[in-house]
Amino acid sequence: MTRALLVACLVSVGPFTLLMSPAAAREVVVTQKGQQFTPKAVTLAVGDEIVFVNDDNGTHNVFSESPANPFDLKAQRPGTRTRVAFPKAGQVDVRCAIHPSMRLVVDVK
Amino acid sequence: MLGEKLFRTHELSRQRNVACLSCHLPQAAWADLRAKPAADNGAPMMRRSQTLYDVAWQTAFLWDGRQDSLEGVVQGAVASPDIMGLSLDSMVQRLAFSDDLSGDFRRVYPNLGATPETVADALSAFMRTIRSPATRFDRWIAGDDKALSASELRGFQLFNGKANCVACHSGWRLTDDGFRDIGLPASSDRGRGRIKPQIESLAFAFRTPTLRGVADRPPYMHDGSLRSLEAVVEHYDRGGLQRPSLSADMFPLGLNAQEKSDLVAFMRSLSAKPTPSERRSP
Repeated sequence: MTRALLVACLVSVGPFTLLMSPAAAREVVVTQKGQQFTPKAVTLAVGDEIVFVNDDNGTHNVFSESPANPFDLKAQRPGTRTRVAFPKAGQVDVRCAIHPSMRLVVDVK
Repeated sequence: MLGEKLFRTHELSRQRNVACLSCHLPQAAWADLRAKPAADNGAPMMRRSQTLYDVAWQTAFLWDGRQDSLEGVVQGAVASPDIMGLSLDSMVQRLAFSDDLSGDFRRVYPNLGATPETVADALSAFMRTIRSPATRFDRWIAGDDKALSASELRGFQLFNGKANCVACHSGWRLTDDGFRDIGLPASSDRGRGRIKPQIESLAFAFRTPTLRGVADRPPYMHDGSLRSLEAVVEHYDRGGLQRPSLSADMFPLGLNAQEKSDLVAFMRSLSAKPTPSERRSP
């Protein structure tokens, strides 16, 4: 294949490739401190991620039973970070299994 | 006070066998001393009665957290066939014809009278007045260095350190209101796991109770299976049964006899009245 043909292939494929490649996933940090999530509400695009940081003195257990994005991080020790992707659109109610008063609403658009 | 009258009356139970007071005795830190109290129908209840100390500050209610308000607890307890067994409709009818209580309702709730909501409101208002009394531990916190003995102080250090009690029993109420599996022998009672069966850590998880007045209200745990504070410390020292739901904060502690004794001494300092062992002390 000639150099010219290779370049022509790249040019023809290039824009298509750009259209298909997903935008870089955004990362939002949510802390757990004083038995509260901060912030308490987050809006994400499909595919974005939340990094849950346990800044408390005690163990937490972040989970969601929302049909679109269920997950269970299980025991999360103080000082640790855990990343969760949100692959589907919809409202996600996030809780701590140990402390039911901890509530976070994630709106995935 | 209407709420206190309702707390004491037997009119809220179907066969008039029990009152709220039957299972929440002031002399037992507003809990009682039975592992499984008797319901109105005479059958033992599934779980142990819990203290009402400082209930106004609680954020989750009952051993499995299935109620998120005190008012919900009241209506649930009256209507449950396993507790008082009186439908809320029957309760309202009874109260409307009660010589003793109907006038109180007209006076306190002139536009509403006795309804499921006003009964719950009055009873909850009363229960929110129940405060844990100040203890020697509170005096020590306030700066009185002599309020706690050397053993009790060592116990408090263990509580915050090697024994890891503070992981769950934190804050001035000595609870974080959290739900955990502490590794007691498995039974048909899955606690909060019945409500959230998909969440692994909640199988056999129950609410962490306050430790205020703890020496005044044996036996211990949701099922009343541990008869003494010494037995409680032995359980935590062993670390609980290993299973997927076991709390990450449960592990063998390796306490020696003196440390166990110090921990119990500290827990006894969380009561206002002297316990029998304290009265024997020099």
